Amino acid sequence: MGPSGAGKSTVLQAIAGLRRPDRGRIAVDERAWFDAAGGIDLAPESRSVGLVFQEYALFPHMSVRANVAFGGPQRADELLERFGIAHLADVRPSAISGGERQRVALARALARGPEVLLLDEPLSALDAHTRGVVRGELEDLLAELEQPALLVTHDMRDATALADRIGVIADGRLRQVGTLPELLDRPADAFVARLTGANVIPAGAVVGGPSGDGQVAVVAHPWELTLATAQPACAAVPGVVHGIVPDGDRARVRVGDVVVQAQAEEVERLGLERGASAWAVLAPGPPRLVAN
Amino acid sequence: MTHRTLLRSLLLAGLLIAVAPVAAAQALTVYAAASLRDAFPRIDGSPTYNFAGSNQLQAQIERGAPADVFVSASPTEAQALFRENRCTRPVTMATNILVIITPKGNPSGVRSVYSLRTGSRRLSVGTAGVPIGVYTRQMLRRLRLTSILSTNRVSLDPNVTAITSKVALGSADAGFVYITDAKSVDDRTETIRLPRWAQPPVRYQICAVRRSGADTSGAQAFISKVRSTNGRRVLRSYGFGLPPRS
Amino acid sequence: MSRSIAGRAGAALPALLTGIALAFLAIPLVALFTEVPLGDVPSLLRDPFVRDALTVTARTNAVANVLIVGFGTPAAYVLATRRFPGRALVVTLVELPLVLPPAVAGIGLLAAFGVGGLLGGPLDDAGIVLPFSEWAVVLAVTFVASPFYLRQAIAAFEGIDPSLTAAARTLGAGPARTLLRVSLPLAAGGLLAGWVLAFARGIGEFGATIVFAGNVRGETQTLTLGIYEQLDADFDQALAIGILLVVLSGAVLLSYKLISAWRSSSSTSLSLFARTSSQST
Repeated sequence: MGPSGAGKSTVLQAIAGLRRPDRGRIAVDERAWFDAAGGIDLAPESRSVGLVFQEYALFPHMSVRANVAFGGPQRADELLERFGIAHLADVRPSAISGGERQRVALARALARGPEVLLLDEPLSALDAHTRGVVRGELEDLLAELEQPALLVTHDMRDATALADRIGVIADGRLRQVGTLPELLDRPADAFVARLTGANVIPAGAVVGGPSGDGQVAVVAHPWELTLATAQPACAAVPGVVHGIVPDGDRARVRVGDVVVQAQAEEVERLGLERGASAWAVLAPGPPRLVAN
Repeated sequence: MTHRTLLRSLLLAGLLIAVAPVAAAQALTVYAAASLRDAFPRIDGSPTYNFAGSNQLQAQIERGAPADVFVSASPTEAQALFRENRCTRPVTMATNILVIITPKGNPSGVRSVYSLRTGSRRLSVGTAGVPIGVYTRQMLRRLRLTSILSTNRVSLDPNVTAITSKVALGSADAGFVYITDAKSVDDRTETIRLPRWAQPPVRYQICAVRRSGADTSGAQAFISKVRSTNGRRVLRSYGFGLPPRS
Repeated sequence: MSRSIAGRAGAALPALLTGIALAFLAIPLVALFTEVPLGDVPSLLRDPFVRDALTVTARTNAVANVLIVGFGTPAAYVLATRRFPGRALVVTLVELPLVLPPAVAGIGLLAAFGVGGLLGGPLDDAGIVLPFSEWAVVLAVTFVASPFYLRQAIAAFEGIDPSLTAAARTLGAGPARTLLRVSLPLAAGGLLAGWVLAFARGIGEFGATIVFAGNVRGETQTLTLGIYEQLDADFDQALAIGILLVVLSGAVLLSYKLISAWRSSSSTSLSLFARTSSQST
């Protein structure tokens, strides 16, 4: 997961054999597909990947069935059934909807029985409504899949719903790899923290610490903060209320640069509205610190 | 713009377009057989020349080409135009003889016209309609060697310039041209004489073209120049034969 | 009152100019068919002279077209899909015969393959003399017509979404299978268009042929060379040959249009060829 241009798609392409890294090693189990030091570089067709492209890359001149069968004719019918697109078998890709095309792309990638499934921003080409539906379907698929799958996205919601472990990439570097709880609770740096939607509150400087000197910040998730109209006794950040966004029985309130997720009735009780002064109150206990 | 102004501009434009080509034609235009391409400019360098096969030039003049003088390598074309009242009475002004030329080194070993009987050489010969082609066929008929046109690979070319260039470049093993052409490329070719008794009568005829807008006085002046002592001297120096002085 | 008339004249002017342009293009074609009695055309064309020229044209162009497509397609594919230093220069070189006057092409071919030319010696040693031979015509036609095909073919291959070929590779297709099952079908429309142009240019070739190959009846005299020879001798026959060539070219163009229309209309049904626009879906 990471912002656009971070290099996420490049990683998938390198695994598939479509891009050649300068250094490094790509292996499945102990079998190397690429090894710069050992001079190994298998062609894409010799690797066993199923790559689902961002724009699906369905062959426009073939039917849905021919597309799926391109990778593996024996499993084509079975996959068409499984993805619920058997009724579209003889239709051309241009005549079906975005969600249907995504399923064709998935079926096609799996037809070959690949060792690794690669998904490049699988939901970004879909409209908001379809995205939610397909996310659910993908969740089911990935759960019953035996192969490892690598998914690339810029959307936190996709990562949290679909992934067992998340790797955060920015500027071509891997910042942190871990489960979602790990990322939320122990972000490696301010960037990862912001990516998970946490507030990064500048907290001052550390002098003479074990890693040297530098600025630090406190990482606090919106749901870990509460609101107050008067300065409380514990640590808190003052600010002006910029916006209140209702979200079901909760509301997200922006106090200065900090976002607080509070109960909607709490916001009512405090009588908060735009322009009012308020305090974002940190939870008691040791704060989470990151270098800033 | 009023409609009157628009009409006036269109009319003016039309007139200018119509007048332009007439205004452009000033120099004397001479259409002459290709074999005269070297000699004529030496006799008179000022006219605009169009050298090509006489039959092609005849066809062009019949379709209205802006020639003032016409010179053909055989009486056929000039007489045809005269019968059609497209030119003045033609007058013979030069003669010529046919020869065979081969590329330098004579790679296919042509010793005489009879060598061509063995066949399978590449020959360059004029088309059936161009004077050089007519003369070549006449000669071959007299020599009873017409068959060489079937036993060899023969390229039918539209004028002597095409024939000489093919032989000079080596594309053809041999070609039938006038002796005047052989002289002009003798640095790149070798000449083989043909039997005198078989030579056809080659007569160049000159006439002034009759058409509206023709420069008749300029044409007559040019014809006089060609037939003058100086003109005859130039022609002889290039290898042409001359008719008796009239 | 005068303004509306001028306004109408202003609107009439483009129509007038269009009419003149169309008439200019149409009149020579119409004249071809009206200047000779159409009833005479079949007998004029049955003349052995025309048959020989037609045979030479058919044979030489068939071989030339096979060479053009056979060598041109993989060359275009390489040029379209690979980036290498000097690529722009190579593409320009390939397009050069397009802008070269045909006679210049003929001279160039002579200078290269003629008896005294660059390769004349080695060819002669091998017993091959090109001028006056049918192969000279094949070379001339191939030289002048191939850029028409290559340009279109390169554009057709370049227009293929690279993610489609990448997808084919990840699905287990090697370069050959990818070319055959993905690239060629998607490029087919452009390749066909290029071939139509190359074919038309080929059968109309004159300048390079007459300079390089010569005018040997039954060997190098194509239909166009036949027209040239008959211009002065038998104008009616020249016209008849012209009509034959117009009909031939027209038939090829018409077939191409029909095929294109059929392919673009069959959007959801399956067909042998793919659409020329290969946007991935």
